[in-house]
Amino acid sequence: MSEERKRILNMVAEGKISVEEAEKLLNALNSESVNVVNLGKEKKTSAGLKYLRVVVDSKEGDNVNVRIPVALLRAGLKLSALIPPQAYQKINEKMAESGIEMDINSLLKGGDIEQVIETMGELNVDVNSAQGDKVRVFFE
Amino acid sequence: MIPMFIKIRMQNEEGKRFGFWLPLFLLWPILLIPLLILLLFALIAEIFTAPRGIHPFLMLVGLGRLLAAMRGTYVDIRSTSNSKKSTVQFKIY
Repeated sequence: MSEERKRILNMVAEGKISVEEAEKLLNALNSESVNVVNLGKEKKTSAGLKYLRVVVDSKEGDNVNVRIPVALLRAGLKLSALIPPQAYQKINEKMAESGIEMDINSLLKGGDIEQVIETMGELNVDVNSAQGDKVRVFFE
Repeated sequence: MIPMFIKIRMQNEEGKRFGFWLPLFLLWPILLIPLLILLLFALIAEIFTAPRGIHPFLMLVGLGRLLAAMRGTYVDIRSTSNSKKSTVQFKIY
């Protein structure tokens, strides 16, 4: 039995909380442990990603098959974190002119790079045009 | 691990094929000395430019990492016009 469970049961025994309140707390503890287990599984799958694949199949017979290592994306993002701070404002202004409101400074912070890559791992773009052309972007 | 080979293959619409292996491992020893000198200059420049947020040494190290991470890159483009196929393949080993 975990320390948290013991503490909740002791609080019930001492009459500090009701049985219903204790039940709610125990349920909350259970859901928290499930979330932690799920988080671990997700991290494991995204860490196993090796390549970004871009596959284009056109009806006319033109095909493009590109495979980019995830390590290359990671190295590129880390390199972009070395952009001088003086350039951030100019980049933000140009992006805003193009209709993209973002703060490049916060995006390229060291800790966020891993998060960006993990999030990219869930990326899966599948485009099928009416003319029969197909575009797929995914991680494997 | 830095890339050791680049393999390039092409085929034009007439069906003529052309391909070659570029042995990069022969290039790296030649570039080693100039790169070390460049790194030394970048390290000295880093002392003066780091307070302004410009990091030439870290940039060079980052470029090296980028180069090393290129292994496994693969590009395959196939085009068909008038039922004639042309191909460009590119792979880094």
